[in-house]
Amino acid sequence: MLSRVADGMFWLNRYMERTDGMLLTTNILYIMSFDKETNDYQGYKPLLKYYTDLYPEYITQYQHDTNYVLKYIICESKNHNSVKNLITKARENARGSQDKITKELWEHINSMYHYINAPDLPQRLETHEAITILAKLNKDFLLYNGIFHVTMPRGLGWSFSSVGKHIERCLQTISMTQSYYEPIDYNLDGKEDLLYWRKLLLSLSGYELYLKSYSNNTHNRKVIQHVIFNPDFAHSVIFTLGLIETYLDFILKNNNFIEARTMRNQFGRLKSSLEFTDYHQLTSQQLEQVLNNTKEQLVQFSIDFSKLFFSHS
Amino acid sequence: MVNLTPKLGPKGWDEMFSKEGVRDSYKQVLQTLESLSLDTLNFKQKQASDIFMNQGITFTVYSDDNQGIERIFPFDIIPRIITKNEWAEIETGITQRLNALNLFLDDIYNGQNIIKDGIMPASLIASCPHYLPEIQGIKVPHNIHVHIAGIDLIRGEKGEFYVLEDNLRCPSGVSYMLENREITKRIFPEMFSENNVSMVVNYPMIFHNILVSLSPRNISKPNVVLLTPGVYNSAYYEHTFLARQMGVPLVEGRDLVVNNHIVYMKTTSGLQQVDVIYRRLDDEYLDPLVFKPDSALGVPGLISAYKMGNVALVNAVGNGVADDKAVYAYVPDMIKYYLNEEPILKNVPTYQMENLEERELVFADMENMVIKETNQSGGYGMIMGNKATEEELEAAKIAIVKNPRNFIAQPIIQLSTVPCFIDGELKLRHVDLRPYALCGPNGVQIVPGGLTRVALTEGSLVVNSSQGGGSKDTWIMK
Repeated sequence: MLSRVADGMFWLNRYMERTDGMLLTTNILYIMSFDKETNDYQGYKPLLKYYTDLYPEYITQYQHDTNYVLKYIICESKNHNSVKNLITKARENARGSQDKITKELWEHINSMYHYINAPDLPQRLETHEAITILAKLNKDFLLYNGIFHVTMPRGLGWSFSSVGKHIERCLQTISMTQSYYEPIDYNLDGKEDLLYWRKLLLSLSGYELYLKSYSNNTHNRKVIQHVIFNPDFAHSVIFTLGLIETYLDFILKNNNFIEARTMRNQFGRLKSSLEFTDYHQLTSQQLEQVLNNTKEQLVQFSIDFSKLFFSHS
Repeated sequence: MVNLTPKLGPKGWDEMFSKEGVRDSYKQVLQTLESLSLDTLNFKQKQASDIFMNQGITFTVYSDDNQGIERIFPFDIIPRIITKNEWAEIETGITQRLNALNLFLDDIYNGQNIIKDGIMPASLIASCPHYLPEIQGIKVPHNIHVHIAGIDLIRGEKGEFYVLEDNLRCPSGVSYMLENREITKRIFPEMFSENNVSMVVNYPMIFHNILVSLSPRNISKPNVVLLTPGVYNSAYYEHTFLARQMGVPLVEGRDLVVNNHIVYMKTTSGLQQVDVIYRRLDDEYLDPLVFKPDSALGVPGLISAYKMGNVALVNAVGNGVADDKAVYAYVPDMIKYYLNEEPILKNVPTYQMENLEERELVFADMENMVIKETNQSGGYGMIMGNKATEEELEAAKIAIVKNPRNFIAQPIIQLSTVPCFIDGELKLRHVDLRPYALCGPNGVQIVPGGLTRVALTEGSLVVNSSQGGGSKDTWIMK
C-alpha cells in the first residue's frame, strides 16, 4: 500500500474518532447542563481542556456558557479542532485515499462535510434546534462506523485506519479520565458519587456497562478498573491497546523493515506495563503516573509508527 | 401530463425535433417525459444534482473571504440520442483518424517522412510548443502514442458531423460519461430500460486491459498506476473514479521515485517497481530534470526511465504536437498520406494565420469567425467574432499580426441543439460530443457513448465546463 495513502487512512480515522468522542462528550454535557440541581462546578471544562487550545482563563470564562461552547466546538473555523475543521481534514484525507476507501464511505463523509458547512448552522445552534443537530451528528458518526465496518475490505488500509482510530480512542479515554481524576487529586479511595462519574462514563459510552458490571457504593477505584482495565469495554485503554496490537501484527506480518521488530517490542512493553499493573493495589500517585506514562508512550509510538510507514521516502 | 415541445430556432439542426415534428429516435423518450408532471421532472433534476453533490463530483469556487463553496458541474436530465447509423459513421471516422494520428506521431518523432515528402512544412512542427525534441527517436510499445483520445465532434446546420478538435494528451471527462449514465438509470429507470441503449460500463475494463498490455516486463500482474497532480486538481474526482474502477493505485509524483532508470512507488513495505503509468499530468510537469525544473508534481528521472523502455507512459510523451490547432488542419492530409484513404469525418475549415492570403480573408470577415490560440484548450484563448466588441477584435488582429503561428481561425458553425430541461420547460441549447477512443495492440476501440457538453446559456456556442457548460447522458442506440 502506498505510504501516502496509508498515512491518509490513518489520519482519516484519527480525525473521525476524535470528532466522534468530542461530539459525544459535548452532547452529554449539554444535556446534563439542563439539570441545574447537579451542582456541576466543572461544566464544559473537561471538553474544552482536552479538545481545544483555549487558554485556562478562557476555559474558566466559558465553561458554563452553552451557546459559546456549542458554536466553538461545532463550527468555529478558528478552532482547529472544531467538528467543522476535523470533518474537513478527514474529508481531505479521504479524498487523498479515495481509491482505497469504498464509495459508500466516501459519500457518507462527503454528506457530513456538506451538512457541517451549511451557512446557517451557527445560527441554528443558538436555538432549541441545537439538540437535534447534535443528535444528527452523533448518529452520522454511528453510521460512519457502521459503513466502515460493513463496506471496507480487511486489508492493510483497514489495519492502518484501525490503528489510527484506536490510538485516538485510547488517548481520549486517558485524557477524559484524567480530567475527572485530576480535580480530586487522583484519590482512589474517595467517595465521589455516581452523578460525578456519570458524565465521564457517558462520554466514553460506558455507563450502562459500568452499572451492569459494578454494583458497589464506592466508585473511584471501580471507575478506573472499568475505563482503563476492563477488557470487555470497547473504550477502555486495555481494550484499545489490544486492538492496536492486533492490527500492528497484521501490518508487520509481511514487512521486512528492520525497524518493524523494534517497533513491535516497543509496543509490547507499553501494553505489558499496563497489563501487569495491579489496579487493586494502585495508589493515587501511581494512578497519575500510569496514566501519564501510558499516554506519553502511546504518543511516542504514534510518532514512530508514522515515521516508519508514512515517511514517504 | 405536460407539453414539452419547444420553439425551434430559425436555423440550425435540432436533434430531437425537425420542422415536421419529433424525430423517430426521440419519440419514446419524449412520450415518457410528457407523461410525467412538471413537479416530477423538477424533482428528478434536483435528485440528479444531489447525487452529484453527495458523490463529491464538484469543483470549488472561492469567494472574497477565501471561503470555498462546492459546486457541481450542471447535468441535464434529458438524454441526447445518437442513432445506430450516425454512430457507425462516427466510429469508423474516429478509428481512421486515430490510426493516422498514431502514424503521424511515430513518424514525426522518428523519420519525419511527412515533412521530407512535402506534405507538412517543417516550420509548423518546429514552431509547435508541444513538439518535444527531447524525445526525438523514441520507440514506444507497439508504436502506439495515443492510447486514449477524446475527439470533439459537432454537427452543422444539416446535421453533418465535423471534428472540432483532437484531444490526444490527457483528455478528461470520461468519468462524466460513466456517471451520467448511472444517474440516468437511477432517475429514469423505466425510460432507460424501454430504450435499446448501448452500454458504456465496460470502458474501465477495456482501458485497464490496454494498460496491462503495455507493460515492459513480461509478468502476469504488472504494476499499473494512475498519476494525478493531486487533490486540488479540477479533474481529481475523475482520477479517483478511474483508479477505483480499474483497481489501480492512484499515485502522486511524490509517491514515485526513480532509481537506476527504474520507477518505483513508495509503499508501506518498501519500494515496488512500476510498469505502466496512466498519467493525468501534462508533459511539461512530468520530469523536472527534463522539462519545468520547478515542477513539484512530477518525478525526477521519469523521462530517462521512459526512454530506456523501463516504464510505459499513457498517453505517450509529446502528443501535443498532433493536437495543436494549427496541425489539426493537416489531419485530412495525414489520413491521405499514411492510409491512402479519404477522410470519413470532415474537419471544420481552418485558416492558418501564418498564411497571408488566409489572414486577409479572415480579417475581412471577423464577425463570422472564431479565433483560437493554437496552444490553448478548455475554451480559453478563444474569441467569437459575433460576440466580441470592436476593441476585442482589433486587439485580436494586433496579436495575430505579432505572432501569427499562435492563431487559427474557423468560420462560426451553428452547433446542433438538443432540448434541455431548464426552468420547468424544454429549451434548445447547443451541444458537442466527445467520444473516447482507446487504442491498444488489438486496434482502436470506441465505447458506444461519449460526453455531450451543453452550452447552457441561451445562444452560446461555448460548451466547455470551465466556461459554464453542462453535460448530458449520451445514448447510442443499438
